[in-house]
Amino acid sequence: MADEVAPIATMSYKICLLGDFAVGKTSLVRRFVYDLFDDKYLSTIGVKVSRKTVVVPREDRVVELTLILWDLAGSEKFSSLQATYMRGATGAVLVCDMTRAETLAHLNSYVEDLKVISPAAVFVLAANKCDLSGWELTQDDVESFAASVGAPCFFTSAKSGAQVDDLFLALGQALVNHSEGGAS
Amino acid sequence: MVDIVKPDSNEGAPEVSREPSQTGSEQPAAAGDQESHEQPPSNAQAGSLVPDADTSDADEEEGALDILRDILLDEERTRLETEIDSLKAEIVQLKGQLADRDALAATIAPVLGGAIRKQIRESREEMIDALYPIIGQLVVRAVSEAVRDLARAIDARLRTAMDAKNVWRRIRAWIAGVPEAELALREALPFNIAELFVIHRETGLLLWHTSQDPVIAHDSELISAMLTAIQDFAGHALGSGDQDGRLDELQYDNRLIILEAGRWSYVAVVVDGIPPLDFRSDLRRRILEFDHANEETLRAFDGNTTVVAQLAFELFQPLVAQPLTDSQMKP
Repeated sequence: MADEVAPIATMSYKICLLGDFAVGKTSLVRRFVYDLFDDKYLSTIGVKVSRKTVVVPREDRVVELTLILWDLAGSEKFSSLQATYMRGATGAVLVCDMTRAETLAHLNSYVEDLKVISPAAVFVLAANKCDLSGWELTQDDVESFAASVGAPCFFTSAKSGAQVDDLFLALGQALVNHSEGGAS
Repeated sequence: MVDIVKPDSNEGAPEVSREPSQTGSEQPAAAGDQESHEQPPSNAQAGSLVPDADTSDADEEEGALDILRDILLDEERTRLETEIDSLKAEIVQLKGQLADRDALAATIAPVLGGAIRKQIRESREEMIDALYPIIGQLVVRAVSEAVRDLARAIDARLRTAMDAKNVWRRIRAWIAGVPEAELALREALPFNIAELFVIHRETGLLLWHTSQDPVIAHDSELISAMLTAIQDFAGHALGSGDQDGRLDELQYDNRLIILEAGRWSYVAVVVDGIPPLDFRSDLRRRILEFDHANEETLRAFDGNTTVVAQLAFELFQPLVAQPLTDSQMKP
């Protein structure tokens, strides 16, 4: 249905991917978008930028969103740079690894940091690596954390692609809803 | 080898003579040898025609040595013949490669670079002397063409000596205390804007972009974000963390990326050549005007670029549309 009407506007948003080292942030982006800059950017300055356009319905029309995804390196080496890169972010994808319980607990600090820099930022939560066995987290753990930060949560697998598109579409929808709320 | 097997006495000769002769030339010698034991030689025969006993022994020895050589060197001879055949084949192949220029180039190309580098390292002066006639001519030709182009550009400017641009240049030269000719020369240097990005400073989102190459437009949003990330990184790594310190320019190969920031946005201009003297100040004036006109929008930027695009086009498109002229610099 969304394809039948022309977009009423093109909006651009800066989105940060936040989470510990090796939770699968880069793999999620790689799964979602294909026009990537080379990985060397990540190792050099601690960030890699990608772009993806999503179309989100709004009332009886649609909005075309250009998501500029800032994939921030999760390693300690770049921790002091993360706040700099978070500036101006309208939204964030929080990523944890279902096989490492501590990665969910650490998301709290990312949320707090971003709320200081961009108080109105919207969040979505990706509980990644769902295809693997040996979960240290339960579905309840993830859902209760997501509820505490007001983020919809998705159980994703960058490997199989499960719920990856849904994750970013939900983020787009949240951004549109947020801008409508801000406008009104 | 021959020295080792050569007998000092005739002891070996009978043994050898019992064996069948391998060459026809040895047969008469053996017959003659038998006759020499039965009949005394005549005077004439004694002189030259009939071999005497010593000659016969020597021939016998020689024949034996030939046989021995054949036995001992046969294998070596066969090997050498094979090698010679192989070398002949290689020579034929090499001749073919020498005749075929493409094949020759393919053969020597891998080592040519290294050989030249080595030669230059070891015999710099000789190499310079050898290459000077070629490189010197090329340099002279290139410089001549550049000077000719420059002269044409200056001529074109001076032909319109009384127009507003020249009057303005004279005034600027007078104020700056430099000769007008130098100013005219500076303005005549080649300069071209390849791309121009107007970027929201806080988010790194692209507000407006124009390019002489439409293919590059595809990546403009990523480039604007990465330019912002690079500036953030430089500010964090080199600066004091505040927002006042900014990168002024980035050099990549022959291209220069000039960055000029306003309060809410900044402009990144990819240029070829040498920017005119007042290019930066003009760029700053334009980005400040853009910021001022869009202050409300840019302060709480919601990602909608359409509202700022028109003014960006009016302010910045004239810079890219054609090589910069004074009239564009001073609209």
